[in-house]
This record gives sequence, structure tokens and C-alpha cells, in this order.
Amino acid sequence: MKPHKSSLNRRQALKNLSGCIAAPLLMPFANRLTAEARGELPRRFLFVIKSSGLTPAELVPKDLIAEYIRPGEEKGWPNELKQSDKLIDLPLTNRDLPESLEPLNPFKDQLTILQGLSGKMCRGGHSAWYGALGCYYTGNEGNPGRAAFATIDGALANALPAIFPHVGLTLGGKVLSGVKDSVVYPGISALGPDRPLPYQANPAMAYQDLFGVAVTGSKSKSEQSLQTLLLDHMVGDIKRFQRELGSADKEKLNHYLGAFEGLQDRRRKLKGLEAEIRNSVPEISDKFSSEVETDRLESHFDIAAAALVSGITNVATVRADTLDVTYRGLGISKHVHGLGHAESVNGMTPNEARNRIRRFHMEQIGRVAAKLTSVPEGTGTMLDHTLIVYLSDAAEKHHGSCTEWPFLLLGGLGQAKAASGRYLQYPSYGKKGQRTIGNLYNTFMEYAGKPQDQFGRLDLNIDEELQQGPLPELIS
Amino acid sequence: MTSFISIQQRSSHVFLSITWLSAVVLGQAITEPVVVNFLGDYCLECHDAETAKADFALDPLPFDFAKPSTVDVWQKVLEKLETGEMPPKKKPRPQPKAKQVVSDWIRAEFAKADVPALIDHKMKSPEFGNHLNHEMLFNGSQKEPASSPPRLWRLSPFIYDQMIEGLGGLRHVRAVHQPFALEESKGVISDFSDGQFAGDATLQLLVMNCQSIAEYQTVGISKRDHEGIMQRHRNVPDVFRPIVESDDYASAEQLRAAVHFEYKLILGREPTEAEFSQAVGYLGKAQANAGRVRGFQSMIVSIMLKPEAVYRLEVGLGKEDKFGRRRLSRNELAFALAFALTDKGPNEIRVGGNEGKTLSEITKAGGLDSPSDIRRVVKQILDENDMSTADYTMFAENHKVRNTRVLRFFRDFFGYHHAPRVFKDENRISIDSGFETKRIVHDADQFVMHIFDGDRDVFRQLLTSNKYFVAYPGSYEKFEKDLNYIRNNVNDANFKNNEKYIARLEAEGKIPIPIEGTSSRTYVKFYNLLHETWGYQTKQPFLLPENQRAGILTHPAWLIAWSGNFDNDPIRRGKWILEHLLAGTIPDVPVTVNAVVPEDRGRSLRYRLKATKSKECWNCHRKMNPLGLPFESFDDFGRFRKTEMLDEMLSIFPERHRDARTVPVKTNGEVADSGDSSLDGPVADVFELVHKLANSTRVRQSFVRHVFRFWMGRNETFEDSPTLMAADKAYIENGGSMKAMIASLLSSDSFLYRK
Repeated sequence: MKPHKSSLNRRQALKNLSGCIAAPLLMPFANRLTAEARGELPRRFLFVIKSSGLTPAELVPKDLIAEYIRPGEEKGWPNELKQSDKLIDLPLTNRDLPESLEPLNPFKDQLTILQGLSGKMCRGGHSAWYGALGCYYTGNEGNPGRAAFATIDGALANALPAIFPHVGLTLGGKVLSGVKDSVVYPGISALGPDRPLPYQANPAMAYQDLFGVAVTGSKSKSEQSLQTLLLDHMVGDIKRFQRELGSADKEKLNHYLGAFEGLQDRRRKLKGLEAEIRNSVPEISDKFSSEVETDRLESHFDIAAAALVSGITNVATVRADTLDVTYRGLGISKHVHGLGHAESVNGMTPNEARNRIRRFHMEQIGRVAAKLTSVPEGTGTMLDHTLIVYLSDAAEKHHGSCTEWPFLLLGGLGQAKAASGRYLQYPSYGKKGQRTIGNLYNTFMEYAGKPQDQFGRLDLNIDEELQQGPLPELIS
Repeated sequence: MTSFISIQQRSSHVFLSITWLSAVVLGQAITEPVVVNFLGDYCLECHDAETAKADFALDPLPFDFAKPSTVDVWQKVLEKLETGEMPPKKKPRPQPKAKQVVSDWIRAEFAKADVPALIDHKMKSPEFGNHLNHEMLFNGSQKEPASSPPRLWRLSPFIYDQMIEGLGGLRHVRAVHQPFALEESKGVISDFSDGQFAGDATLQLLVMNCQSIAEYQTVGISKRDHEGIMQRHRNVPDVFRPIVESDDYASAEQLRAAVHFEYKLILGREPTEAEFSQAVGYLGKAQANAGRVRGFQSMIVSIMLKPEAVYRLEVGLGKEDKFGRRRLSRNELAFALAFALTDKGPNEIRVGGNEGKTLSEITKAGGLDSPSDIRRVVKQILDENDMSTADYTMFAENHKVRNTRVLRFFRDFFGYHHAPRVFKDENRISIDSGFETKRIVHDADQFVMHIFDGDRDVFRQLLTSNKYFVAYPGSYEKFEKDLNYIRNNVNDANFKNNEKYIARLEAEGKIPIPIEGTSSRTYVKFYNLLHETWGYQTKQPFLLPENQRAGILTHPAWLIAWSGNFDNDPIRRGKWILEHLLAGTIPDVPVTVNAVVPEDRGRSLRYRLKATKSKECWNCHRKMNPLGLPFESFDDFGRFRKTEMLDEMLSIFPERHRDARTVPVKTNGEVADSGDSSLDGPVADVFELVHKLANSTRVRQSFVRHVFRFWMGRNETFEDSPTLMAADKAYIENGGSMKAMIASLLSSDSFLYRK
């Protein structure tokens, strides 16, 4: 992919987005009904990205464990998935999900457990940073490096425009940090070259950002018009300032100007929809301002679900934790980093602690899925047109090697109505028929109506042809 | 059209194949032969197809800039050229003009292909600063007058917090959320102007905050107090009262006063006539929309959201000089200096005591027009905000530290305040490690700031002094107060223990540590002090044994910050020294490497690192390991040791390890290829190492580079060479005065001029 000029032209991007206003996919709630009547259906994605690796062995259905798993190399470390020469594609009917995935049982029919993809074009270690969702090498121990291309959530945000192009929610900042309390740039998502996406760590703030206008906006008509007046005035003021300053640090002022224009834009689009949106807005409770990590995460999932259901966004990413987070709410006294290093923890093995955390994540995903199934859409429900993607930015283990990169896919988007869920394991790295995460992201782009041949960078050590296009097994 | 040029012969004049000739005939740019010749002269010896040093070959030379692989090659060439990293030291160096032609050509080709030069992006990042050739920065070869690029520097969260504090008790009434993110990386200077933006993510929060402020300044914010009674909190400036409290619309004079007030408060200056008219115009429309008071609030908000309120202006609004540079205007300068030294605006800083003039007043009256004036005022501000003229308890009290910016530099530079974030297993340390390590961070803060205040031989003392602070509350009076409190606090759960402890020590003629609770007192163990028997020093700083402590790098805070969960981290410590003290660079860990230290506790850590000695690894590790290994004289809690325990996991409880197997600690290390020949060579132990470093010119200069980066908010460029050299000179000529160094930087051309 050819690198693009890195000038931050937010206003240009905004113009591109505005150009899509006529497109049927920009559909806040009210419009969705008409679009549905026309036979066009929405598409939405929720990415849930955890730190410290997603353990492949813990995703294997119970009856397959004996055959597919072997003990880990080092004592105390998780079990490992055996290498496979061939493609494994088994239905989940009559199979028991592994323990930590049990909360997904009600949605087993729409679950795909996806193993065996590699991502060796990315950096391994504590985090692949933008690479995990973007398929390229970037960053070092402490820093994300440069966002060279859009990550998959950014690319989907561009492809499925909405009032809020992307909603990012997180507990922590960069991978080694702990819980944060405001806007952060975790370095895992980007809208395009040099355009990292911000995440909000404080649920109460996220609530205000996303739903504030809808909840308080229609307090009075004069309030509305005052806000509009203010924003218009500021845009004029900044433009005047830019002219006075000439070329000095244009980018920064463009950024600031773009932010105001973005606010204006969102307000225009939200106009008249406040009532509908308010129906989907989560209850704001003490949980939102809680200091307890699990409360915060629950709040974030509530917000993500509401954002998707109300239609104010089509793409959301929840960064479920960072390495310095401790799940005290689950009775675990060690932070994720320690668990990843198989350090001891009170009353349970590190692996048990990791399983407990994963189960908690599944409970949250289950809650989102339940909300989506409760809303009819087209001939089915919202979940049929959604894909929830669960992965880790450290691939398969705490210091990921990226040789295998497990995913959980939940939802009906892109699939013909499946009879059952799936356990899908691709041939291992170096074996015939192997595939990469680039193929997977090509698949997602195809689901979004924008099929493409290559996502991010290629793994130069394996056949180029194999890395082109989507995963045929996931295209129906 | 061919896109490759095959360089067939290695010599100082390159013979080119027929394909090249035909390419020229077909119209490639005339500078290409110059470029090809240049590369042939200076690069081809090591980077031809055969030798291909560092796996990089410039033969065949690609010219098809539509291909990513071509662009990659030229990105690398441009980077090495502009940082001066290539050619390497012992090879012939090209003239600057010749280099310029080549680099201009590459940039032109990039522009045609619509590709950004990656080096530009890299140089904006603090991690990359060292790539600029050190010798060239300090050999006086740079003759051009220095300047900085015109820029806007987004407010730091600290400045924003300070501004909110200045408004009164707003924070207690309604949550004001920090809109500005500033990510911290250990050992990295965090606030670089290039990296900070105010965009989408911040705006929503900013608008909300501004509306809260506007309410607070007008009608007030209602909140129930702890008795459930609704209270109204406000802090209404006098000039707002007539507008907010009367039923009539304001008069022109009243409006003028209000607008001027808000401009002064938020932007630190008077509005121009045009701005005043705009404000009044907006006010009219806003009031027509939403009423008298609400409209007025909106006008205040509109001033608070101006880009100038969010971004500091360092554009150069002053006159242009004969070099095409513009000096910072008086207003710009006042702000730039204020925020360089404090988190307050120039209207809030008084120079010369409480009756002195504000920095704004001084600047406006022309008092900062000459560099020597600036130096004098800077030094005065630093002196007046010394901790030595205040109470050291400010360290423990949440950053009421004066000269906070200086402390922030030391923290960014050394990284020791990250110690609480390094998790040590509860079994090993048994007390809440976060809490205890916070205490040693305070001790380290006091250590560095005391040296800064003394302002003599600062750099050397930072690296070698064994005068430490341990649990010092700031003054003898405070110590007495604390001890008396412990004596009398019968409600404390540990009261009986505390009583016994105090009695026991006093019976031995020693002074007890003024900390409540045995487990809290144990933290002094990190200093090899026995918490049960150590006689507390009321006069601090005091001397720790010089064969155990020398400088900040042997301070438990630094050692723990740069350690792992179970072990020391010689590699990262070595890397820290290389990058912070030797102006060195080290490439990233290769993708294919899973850099994990083997768990085998039956051998010393030094032994366990032997995998790094293999051929593929040692090239980089030889620059790090030998610098970090002398610190094996300390365990991963920062305690000095002569033997290393094997087999078991070390804890701070010696009684648990009575039968443990130990080996003597090997303390030797080496400085290799530092660029300072007086520095290179083996060292017997960490004390020899830090003394050598403290005596080295290169190390001192590397320190100057980092000081530059912090106070300038950007990486240095070759143009800044005279500034760096002057700052170094100022430091030396004033007896090792860091205040003089800072004053020199803040009065330099780099700081004052924009181009």
C-alpha cells in the first residue's frame, strides 16, 4: 500500500464524510426504518481487544481438548494448541464450549472460534500496537510508533459512516499503563495515516460525549440555538486566527478547527433524533463513576451497546484492559502483567485468574449480544447484522509471537443464517493453506461492502497469493 | 524506461552502465549523476551489493519512486544523511553543501511521489533525538544563527489544572475533567510540542468545563452540602456583577471592563478593538437567543475556547531581522518564560517577593528585551522558588513543590518516579509495595531538588553524592510534631507497637523514625538501614556509606523503577545510561526475538543473560549489558549486597533465606565505544562507573541535550549547536550551575527567534 501524505486534513476528511450524507448507510435510528423498508440493512462492528494475549488452548470446545491441546512448555504457563497441517472446520452443535466461554452459550449458533491465523508482519511482545488491528510492524516497548495506515476499526468507521465515526472506550492508556480517567491514545486504532483514534477512559465522560446532546439537548430551543451560535462563532474565529498566523503550525489549528466542525456536524445530524436516542441511552448510575475496574468495564460495555443500538455509531472498540489493571472486582489481587508472567496470586493459579477474567469479558459481550438480539431488524434482530470481534493486541500469549492469533467472532454479519456456530482452525504457520490476519480483515471489509485484496502489510516470509483477499471459509 | 542503475565499479569516480546513459537521455533530472557520485564516494565501500553492511545495499540504486521498496531505500539514506549517523566516524566525511544537494534531491523526489520523509516524523519524537550526531553538535562547526520553527504548543494538563485552581473553589463544586492527555513513558521527556493536539477528543470536555466555569463566574453552581442544604457556589469577578445582577442591560463601559477582564484572565492580554467589537457583536446575538445572563455566559465561553487559550503562541510576532528570523513578541515571551519555569501564566508570577512586579509587567515595560535581562530574571525566579526557602514537606503534600518544572524534568529524565509501578509480588515484600515505594520516590525528589537548590556542581552531585534523605518531613519542627503525634495517637491500631518501638530506641539513646506503624517503617530497609534499630537522623540530608551509595543511579527509587518484577534489569539500565548519559542510540529489539530472561534461579542473573552474547545479539547488547551489570551490586529492591542469592525467590525478609545458597556478586562492567576515549574501558564496580560518568565531558553534554529538549519542548537540530554549546559553557563557568544552564537556554536564539 502506498503511504499517503501525512498532512492532517481533518476538514477534508469531514467533507468526504459529509459527501456520504446521502448514502443510505448513514442512518440514525429514524432513517433506519425507511432504509430497512428499502431492503438495505445496517452493518456494525464491536471490537473488544484485551492485553496479555488470548490463550488459544482455552478456546477449544471441551470434547476436543484431549486431541487438540498439549501442556505448555513452562510450568505454570497456559496449555498450548497443537499445530495442525490441515484446516479444521467443525460445528459447535452438541459441543460444550470451554468453561470461560460459557456465557456465550445463548449465542452459540452465531459464534465462530477462529484459530491458527498468523500475524507475523506485526511486532510481537507486549503489544503489536496499531499492528494488531492494522497488520503492520510498528512501535517498541513503550511507544506505539507511527500510525502508518488505518486499522480495521478505523477503516470500517470510514466505510460505515455515522454521526460518531468511531467510539473508543478503554480502562487504560498505552499497554503498560493502568486505569486512566480521561481521553487517552492507547495506540491501537487509527483512522488513517498519522490519525490515531482517541479513547475515553472515564465512563461518565463517554456518556456525556455520546449521549449528552440527546439527553440534555432538547432542554430548550434557545439552548440549542445558542450552542449552534457558539460553534459557528468559534469556527469563524479560528479561521480568522489561521489567516493571521499564516502557515505556522497549520496542522494543529486544522485539528482544532476540525474538532469544532465535527461538533457542528454531529449536532446537525442529531437534530430531531434526541427522543429516539434517549430510548437507547443506558441508565446513568453510580457504576459510571466507580473506581472499581470491573464496574468501569461494565459501564463501557453498556455505553458501547447503546451507541450501536441507537445508531449513532457503527463501529466501536472497547479496549478491555491494559497490563497494569487489577481485576479486584473479580477477587484477583494481581495485575494482568503479573498474571501473564505466571506469577502467583491469592488462592488460584495464574491461569485460573486469566480464565476468570476471560469469562468476565464473555459475560460483558453476552450482555451486549442480548441487547442486540432484543431489537428486531429486517427479518431478524440487530445481532444478525453485527459482528463482535474479540482478540488480544499481544496475539496468543503475554509476550506474543504472532505465529497464531486467536479470534472470537460473534454475530450474524456477513454470514448466511448459519445453522450452528463453528470451531475453525487454519493450518499452522509454515503449513500449506495457512492464512493471516490480513485475510481476516479483508473479510471484514467485504462484510462492510468494501472488498479489498490486501490489508496493511504482507508477511514477506510466506506466499503473497495466500494473503490476498478474504477468508473463503467466512464468506457465504 | 529503466528504473535501476547498476553501479559497476567501486572507486572514487563511478562508471555507469549504458542503461544509465539512456535513462539520462530519456530525461531524468540533471542532479542524479551528482547523487550517484556522492553515494559512490561515501557509501558504496560498505554498502555495495557484495559487502552490504547491516544488510543494506545501495547497488543497484533504485529510482522508481512509485515502488515502496525504492522509497524505503531512500528513506534510510535521507535519515542517515540528515542525522549525520553515516558515514561512520572513521570514514571520510562529506562537505555539508554536498550533503545538502543530495538531501534536497531526495526530498524533491518524495514530494513528487507524494510521500512524507519519515525522518521528519521521527525527529519530532523524543526517543529519536539522540540520532543526531553528537560530535557535530558540539564541535562549533555550525555557524548559522539559531532559531526554532514557529509553533503552537498545546497547554499541558498541569497548566490547565493550575488555571482551574486559580479560579477559586470550582473543582470542589463540580467535577472539572482534564481535557488534555499527556502520555508518560518512563525515562522519556513527555511534553513535546509536536506531539500534543487539541482535537475532537478534547473539545467536548473543554466545552463542558468552560460552561461550568462560566456558571461559576456568574450565577453560581448549586450543590447540596453534607447536611443536605442547597448551597450556591460562585466566584463572581467585580466587573461581572453589574451585568449579571442588575435587571438592565449593561452599559458600554461595563461591557468593556468585563471583556477586558476575561481577556486578561484567560489570555493574559488586552483585547484589540476588533476583538472587542467581535465580542460585543457575539454577545448581542447570544443574548437575543438565550437571554441576558445566559448570553453573557456564552460570550465568556467563546473567549475561553479561543485557540490562543488552548495553544501557547510561539510564532514570532516580533520584528523580522536580517536573517529572516522573527523574535517572540513581548507577550509571547512572557508566556514562554512563564510556562518554561512554572505552570502559571506571567500574570501570576511575581518577581522579587510578594510586592514585586509580575512577569507580565516586567516584560511589557521592556524588562526582558535583552538576553542578559532574561538570564537575570530567570535566575531570580528559580532562586525565589527554591525549596531551600520553603518547607520540604511540600514534597509529601501533593506537588506544592516550587520549581515544579525542574522536578518534572528530573522525573522525566531519570524515570525514578515509576518505581511504584513496578510490581513486586506480595510474598516478597509483604507490605503494600505501592505505598512504600511512594516514600522512596519522595526521598529521591528531595535528593535531586536539594542538589538543584545548592546549584553547585549539580550534574556531578546528581551522579555521585551519597547525601541522602530518608523519611525527612522537611524540618526539625515538623519532625517533632510527627513524633509527638505518634506518641500520643492512642487510636492508631499500632499504638502499642509504636510505644514499644519509641521507648526501646530512646533507651538506647537513639531517635525513633517519625513514621507510624512497623510495616511502614520497614521501607528504610531499601537503604540497608535496619528499621528496628536505626537511629533516625534529624539533620538531613545525611551521609550514607560511600561504598554503598553514590548518586541517583544507586538510589532505591531509580533501581526499582528500572527493575523487573523478580530481578534487576541490567539491559534496560544499560540502555538508560547509553541513551541518557552517552547520547547513544540502540535499534529496537528485532521482531523475531522473544527477549525473555531464563527462569533458572540456580545461576546468577549475569550468567542467565549469556544468551545475549551470541553473535546475532552481542552487537547491540555490548552497548548495554556492560553498563548495567555493575548495578548487580544491588538487589531488585535497591539494597546494596555483596552476595547474590540463588535458587529461591528473594524477599526482603532475611530470616527466610538463612540457608540459601549464595555467590559473590560480580561487579565489573565496561564503557565501550562511547565516543569519549577517556571514558572507554573496563570499570571495577558501579562506583567507579558513576564517577567516571560524572567526570566525562560527553556525558555532561548529553545531559545538556536532554535539558534542552525538556525546556524547548522539541529535539535539538544542528542549528541549535551554538545554543547547546553556550548552555554547557554557562554551566561550567558558573561552577556547575544548572540554573545558569537553564537561564542560558531561555535567553538563547533558539528560544527567542522563530524562522
